[in-house]
Order: sequence, then structure tokens, then C-alpha cells
Amino acid sequence: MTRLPDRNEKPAGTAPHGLSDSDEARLIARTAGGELRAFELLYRLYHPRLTRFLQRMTRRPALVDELLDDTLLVVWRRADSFNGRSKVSTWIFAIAYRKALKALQQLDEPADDEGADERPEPGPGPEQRIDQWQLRAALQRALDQLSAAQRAVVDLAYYHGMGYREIAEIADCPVDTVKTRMFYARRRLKALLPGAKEDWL
Amino acid sequence: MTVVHLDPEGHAKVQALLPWFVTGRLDATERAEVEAHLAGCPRCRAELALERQLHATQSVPEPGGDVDRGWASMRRRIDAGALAARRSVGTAGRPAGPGPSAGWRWALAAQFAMIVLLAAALLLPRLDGERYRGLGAAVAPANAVVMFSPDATEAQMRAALRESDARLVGGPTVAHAYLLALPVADDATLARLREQPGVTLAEALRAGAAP
Repeated sequence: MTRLPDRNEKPAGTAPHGLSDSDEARLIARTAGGELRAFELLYRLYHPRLTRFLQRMTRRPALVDELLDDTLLVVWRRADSFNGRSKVSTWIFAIAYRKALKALQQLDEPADDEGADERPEPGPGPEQRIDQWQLRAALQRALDQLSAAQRAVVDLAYYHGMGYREIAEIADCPVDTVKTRMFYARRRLKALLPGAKEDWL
Repeated sequence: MTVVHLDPEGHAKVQALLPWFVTGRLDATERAEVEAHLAGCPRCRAELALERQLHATQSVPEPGGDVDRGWASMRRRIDAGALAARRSVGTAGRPAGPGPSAGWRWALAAQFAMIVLLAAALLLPRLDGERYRGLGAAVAPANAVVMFSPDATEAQMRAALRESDARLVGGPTVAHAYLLALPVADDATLARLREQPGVTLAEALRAGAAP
């Protein structure tokens, strides 16, 4: 019998850190009005999420603090440019995404590399018995082999709980591109899981 | 690049949606479509099982950065920017930092008024159904957020809530914030809360509540 989906979904209109989307929009409006306290709250709410996202996307810890600061400084300086057509989280993550891509491109790292799918599979195959520590290490290596754009989709979907339309808005690409990036990323990652079979598609 | 084969039975389409099926981020139509397919497709159910495993491996929290150090650094950058702005031509007398246009603010105010009306209907059931840890039977909408230092003791947290007559209605969140319902989220109440040992931030959620 089909299992129901995991019910870890936040109710519509609720950001993952507990504030409603309208609460966040109000904080942005107050930030646009120069209220430092409102911005501090936004900063503290987004710091952990953006740190995680930028670490996962760039795989370069040395870049994370600077990218995080640059992203949130844009929020402070350009809060008046938030037009309310998207959620605040979409707007902020899109800024972080663009800054991360730009930084990686300046380092000559292929950030949007769909060809990453052609790279050899890393780590042990599914037929090998591996414990949880080894599994995490193997998944880590597999993630390293993905492009930054693919890693971003994986983290935004699995950890930040974003839908594919929201991710497409953040990455400024068609929804099919998001699904394609996820497809290749999952294929590489799932091959490492116990019980995985050869992809039949 | 590998090309997905033609998919007359819809396996590929369903599998492409599985990550968002597992995280509960599909709309009702897509969810029903996936559920109907899964009910009759053992192979896609096996994929779903793998998908749940994968989601479990990728949704594990990791240690974050030092938010206090980050905020101190951000304050320095903001202050430096404000100083530069004051020195530039034509900005004297304007608030340091963002400078919204009057038209934009009126438009946003109107939009927020509509959002508030809609949110009012959504907020109570949301707080009731979430990881609600209220201190009383009645559920009040959150009107403030409080954050505590990492070394704050439980006694300090309780005292801070008691002193400000706050009711805990949500949290801790990812950012270790707690949503509070204060009798009045005004300057005096928030200032009293900020002075409590262990409190690092206390902020109203409503515009104008804490000017």
C-alpha cells in the first residue's frame, strides 16, 4: 500500500524558521525604512539557513562568511527593491545564489555544469556493505562531484523544504531545469544507498 | 548528456516529483497524481523508499556559523556605509541605510493590510498545529520574537518570559528564536525583555509596535 508523504511540511505561508511570510514581509518593510532592529532580526533568522546553503552550494568554507555578509548587506541596502511578488525567503536566497555563482565563476569553477553527470561514480558501489559513516562520506564525495547548481537544488529541496517552482525562481531558470538537475543529482546519490538498484529509466 | 526515454506510463514524470512528494511540497493535483501512480507501481514505490532514505541523509542540520560575530561584522559594515553616505552629496538628513520611495511604501502598506487580513485567518490554526509549546490553554498570535544567548539557562529563559508577561507560542526555530505573544509589544515591554539576563534580541513582529 502506498505510504502517505512525510508530513513535515510547514503550513502554507510559514517560513521554515517559524515566522509567517507576512511577518517576514513586514520585517523587510521596516528594514527598508531604516529600522536596524528589524534587520537584525532578519539577519539572525537567515544567518543559519544561508550559512548552510552557501556551504553546501560552494563547498568552499573560506567563501561562506564573505558571501553571507554580502548577501545580507544587499538585503539591508536594497530592502526597498523587494516588490512583494515573491516570498522574502525566495528573494534572499536568490541574492545568495547569484553571489555564490559569481564567486565560483571568478574562481574558474564550473558552477552550472550539467556535464557533471558524465563524471565517474565516486565511492563504493551499492553492492558493497557500508555503514552509516561510510555512507555519509560517500554521499559527501558524490555531492562534491555535482555542479554548484545541482548541489543548490538538492539543498534547497531536501533541507530548506522549497518547492521546485520556488527553486526555479531562486536560480532564475525553468522548472524543468530544476527537475533535470535534481534527476541527475539523485541518480548519483541514490546509487550509493543500501538497496539501490540500477537505474531503469 | 543522458536523455530520459519516452515515458508513456508516467514513471519518469512521477519520479521527477518524488523529492517534493517526500517533502510535502507538491500541490494537491500533483500529489494526487503521484499517489495514484504509486498505488499501482511497485517500481516507483521502491524509488520512493530510496527517496525517503536520501531525504533523511540530506536533511540533517549542520553546525552553523557564529551569528553574534557575524552581526558585529555586519554592524561595522553598515556603520561604515552610513558614514560614507553622510559624506556624500545630497544625502544629509536622510536615514543611514535604505531609502525607500514614498510611493513604494504606500503600495507595500496597502499590500500588507491585505496580507494581515489573510494571515489572521491562517495564523491561529498554524500555531495550533505546529510544534506548539504554549504555556496556557488559549492560543494567541505571536507578536514578538526573542532570542537567547547559547549559554542562557532555562531559569533565565523562564524568568525573562515571566517578567514580560510573555506567552510562548512557538519555537525554538532553526535560528533558535522563540515566538512570543506579549500583552503589548511596545517599546517599554521589549526594552524590559532585552534587559533580562540571557536575552540577545527581542523584537516586535508588527510594524509600529516598536518604532
